[in-house]
Amino acid sequence: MHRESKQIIFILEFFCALILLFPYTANAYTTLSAADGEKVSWKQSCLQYSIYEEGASDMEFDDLADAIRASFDEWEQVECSYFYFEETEPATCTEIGFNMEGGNMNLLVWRRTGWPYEDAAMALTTLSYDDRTGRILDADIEFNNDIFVFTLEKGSGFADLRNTATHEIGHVLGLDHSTDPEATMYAFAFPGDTNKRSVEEDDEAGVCYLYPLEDDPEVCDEPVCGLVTDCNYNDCVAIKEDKGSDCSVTNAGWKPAGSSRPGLLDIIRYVF
Amino acid sequence: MCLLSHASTLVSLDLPELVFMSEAIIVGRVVKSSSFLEGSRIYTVHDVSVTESINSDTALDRKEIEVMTLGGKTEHFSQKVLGEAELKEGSQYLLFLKCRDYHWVPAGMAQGAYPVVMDEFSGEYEVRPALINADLVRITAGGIKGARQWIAQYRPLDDVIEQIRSLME
Repeated sequence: MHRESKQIIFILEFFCALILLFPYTANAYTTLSAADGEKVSWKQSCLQYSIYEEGASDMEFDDLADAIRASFDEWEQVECSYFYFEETEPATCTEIGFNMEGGNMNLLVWRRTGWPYEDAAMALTTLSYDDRTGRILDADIEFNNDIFVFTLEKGSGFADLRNTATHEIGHVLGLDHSTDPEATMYAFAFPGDTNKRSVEEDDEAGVCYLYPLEDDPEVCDEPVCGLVTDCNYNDCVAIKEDKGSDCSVTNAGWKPAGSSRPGLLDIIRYVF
Repeated sequence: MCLLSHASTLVSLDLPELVFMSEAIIVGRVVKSSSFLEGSRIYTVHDVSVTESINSDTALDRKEIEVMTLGGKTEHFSQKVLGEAELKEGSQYLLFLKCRDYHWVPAGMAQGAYPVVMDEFSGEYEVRPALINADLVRITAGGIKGARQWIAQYRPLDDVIEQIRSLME
């Protein structure tokens, strides 16, 4: 009996050693898919984002902007991914969604009063994409600053801005939730949670699946029909009145980024 | 008209809270879903045939109601709503509803819609976990902490309805 116990212990030790030597590292991240199974992602090297100029209550704008930059940096520093971000001038208006009639911006805005959605929502992300190609066209994040206080202080008990922002930016990139509790894209927050401020191994695997270095298109376009941060739209009439034409043909206010725009004509034809 | 938003971080609601905040609690089947574009946003309207109105004071004696959710697809233009209820044509749901801007909407977004499926062995209807594709957090006196859904496994529909009714008393 004693000998059998020793054998069992030996076998258990053997398997434990195997597990330690060859850890199982299955990816837990998930991504979004378009109708035909295409990955939902930005089909370019970067995205431009705009922070609403009034920021959040109880926080200096510069502190807020620094925190948001730090959250974007977390994703940008993933070495196996080519994707990067460009900050534009602060936005002076707060319109959300994808504007088909001229100009867009990828906005981060704090709704200080009159939160118009469900009270239970702390942060909302609107992701617009072409369901045929999976190309993300626009992404906006709204923070419920009417009901919730956002903070940068660890352990304050309030919603940690960087924690929330880093996670939401993962969605902006096209990542869904992960089943890995250590991941930034895990769907649950924990007491005093600031763990999601940083991008973890599983998140890196996810963003590198969507934007692997070797597939860098080396294109960084403005939003469709141009960057507009003041909601003074540039009358990109080509979309409505001349279907099939590129915005650049009839839209004097739009400046192409000087690089090719693969698939844009197709998107305008099919989307609008 | 309806307002549209897309959610990713939600405060977790337990069953008593859902019952308290709901103006209508029903079991119904989605007969038809259609999405439309309004401005820069997409909404989806679901025609829901009510099979049982659980809270009787909401006067849902109509055979069919319209439930609006955020996001959807028009032509090839899609808007994804992380955290919004996803209702599918032909499927049956237990719905906790609020009236917002003249439309019924799921209370607490995805937390207000639970699939109801017949168990193929017992023939009984079960309430399945909601497809909540969002962060769930709980607000307490001590701050924010993680939370799980009140319904985390399959439960008989009759039991859930009985629990809801007892909470309404």
